[in-house]
Amino acid sequence: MTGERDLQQLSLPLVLLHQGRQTLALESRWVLGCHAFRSSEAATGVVDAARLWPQPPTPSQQQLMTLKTPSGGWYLRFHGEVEFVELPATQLHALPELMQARKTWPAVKALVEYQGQLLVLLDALSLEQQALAVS
Amino acid sequence: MSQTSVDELLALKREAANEVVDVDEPTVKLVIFALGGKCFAFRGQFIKEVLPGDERLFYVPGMPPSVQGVINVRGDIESVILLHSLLDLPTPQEVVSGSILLGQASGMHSGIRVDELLDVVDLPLSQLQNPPESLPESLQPYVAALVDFSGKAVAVLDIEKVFADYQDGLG
Repeated sequence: MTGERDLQQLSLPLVLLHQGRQTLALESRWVLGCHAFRSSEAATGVVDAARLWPQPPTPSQQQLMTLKTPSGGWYLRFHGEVEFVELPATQLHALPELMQARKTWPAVKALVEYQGQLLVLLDALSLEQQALAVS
Repeated sequence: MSQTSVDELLALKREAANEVVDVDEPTVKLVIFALGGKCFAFRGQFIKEVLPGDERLFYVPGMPPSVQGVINVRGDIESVILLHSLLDLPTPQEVVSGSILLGQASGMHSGIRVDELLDVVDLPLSQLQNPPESLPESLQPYVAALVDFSGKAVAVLDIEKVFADYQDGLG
């Protein structure tokens, strides 16, 4: 059994997607890379984030994130900035049970504390299922 | 001075004694609040804490409108929900920013945003009345009792039923 002391030894590597006033997190193990999107790039396998969740207004440039999953990989295009962080595991929180029961976006998995804020951690595999459904 | 028979005096003493016993009548703690222009209450035993309402609230996407967000209460993350839809109360035009009641019942817990905390009182249990049949249908499943508070009818809500139905997708 892992106690609180053991949790303090563990860390959680995350990729943060800053989109204006909203920041979402993904486990970094699913993120292969990210770069500024060029309009000349092939759009095969690219899913616009706007088809997966409402996009807040942001002046940030468009990014192309490469995600790898056990079933393959796909590309997520979004406006925003990307940041890699490694947080203590103690800053990871389960979604409160009533929210877990009522969530309308299956990809919402957990919450993480970051710089005094609570961010939503998305489930990359669930997000991939959603991407497959809309593409 | 008027004369009173011994029997009458003894009866008066018995009444006085009964009144003393009444002080020990079981009481119930109620957390009374305003919501959607009506007065409601939860039993105090189910409310862990009342927060003033200015806590930093974090929006969580992908939730129904009745979820306001989450708050960090000394390291514990609590959801904050609105009960307007569940209780069929008018949807607030502005963001509700009154007190947050931290409720806990049947293994479930959540913050419940109310318009205004009115009072926390201890009342004799005998003051709780059964809810009338004329109660609006939308409130009937949730109102466990009625009580008079400063001339206003207060509906005492069954928080376990509220949480259970909310979890099942109502509201």
